[in-house]
Amino acid sequence: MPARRSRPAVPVRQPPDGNSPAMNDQVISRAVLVSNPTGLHMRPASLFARCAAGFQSRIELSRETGDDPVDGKSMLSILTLAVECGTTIRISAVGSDAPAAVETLAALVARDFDLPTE
Amino acid sequence: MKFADFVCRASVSAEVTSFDKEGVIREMVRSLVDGGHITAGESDSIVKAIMKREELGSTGIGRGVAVPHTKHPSVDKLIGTVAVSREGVDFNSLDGEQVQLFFLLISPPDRPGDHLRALENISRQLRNDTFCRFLKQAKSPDDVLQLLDEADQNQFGP
Repeated sequence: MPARRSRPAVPVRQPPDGNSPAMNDQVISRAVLVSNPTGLHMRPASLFARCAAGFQSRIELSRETGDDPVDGKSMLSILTLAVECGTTIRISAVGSDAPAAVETLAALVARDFDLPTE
Repeated sequence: MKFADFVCRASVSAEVTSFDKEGVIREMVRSLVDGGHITAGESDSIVKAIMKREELGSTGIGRGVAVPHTKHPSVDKLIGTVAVSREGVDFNSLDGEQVQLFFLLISPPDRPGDHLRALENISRQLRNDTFCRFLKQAKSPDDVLQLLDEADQNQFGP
């Protein structure tokens, strides 16, 4: 019978689980100009929400000029901002993958959501 | 923008009879022709344009709601209509649910701002569960119009 390995006397420190306050309470945010001619209508809003939903972080979207932020993972909520071309929006994220989320979403907006020119 | 700014009152229906996406869209466009808002000659072209938009991704946005729409040169201002289906229609919605509430929009090609403001109004009102539930229970065009008017007066929340 093989010898049983004894458990370490001191509990092993848990790896970061993405919930440590030091990492997660920090808001990562970036302003980005909406430059597609038709603004944040249904398709861009749906593409944004779908992309945002791929991140664990809480993601919010607002006009740079200061409306109440809305849930960036909800297409309906994004549509309530009625963002036109030429408006600057602010993407904010809180969570373990917040920097990646903000970078990815800002790039999506900057690429006009990869939509063909209308 | 309020519902009163774009919903053609005579075209509203509480009883869609079609059971498929194109049928519903055709019915709603015909109601706009009957209401004198577009000509019969334009209706085929408008239905085709709306169906083409659906191919890019369903406008069934969940919660039993769809917003089929298109830009079309036959209108010089944004127009729309609302229809309710008792049974629900398969619209390839994002959440897979049958659609009971339809908000159809036709906007002039050069007025993206009006389209955005109509979407803003629709999406804001749809976030209210009571509004959605009452609308699905509407039995007549007057019921639908009364609910739209109440929504315009912010009776379902700001």
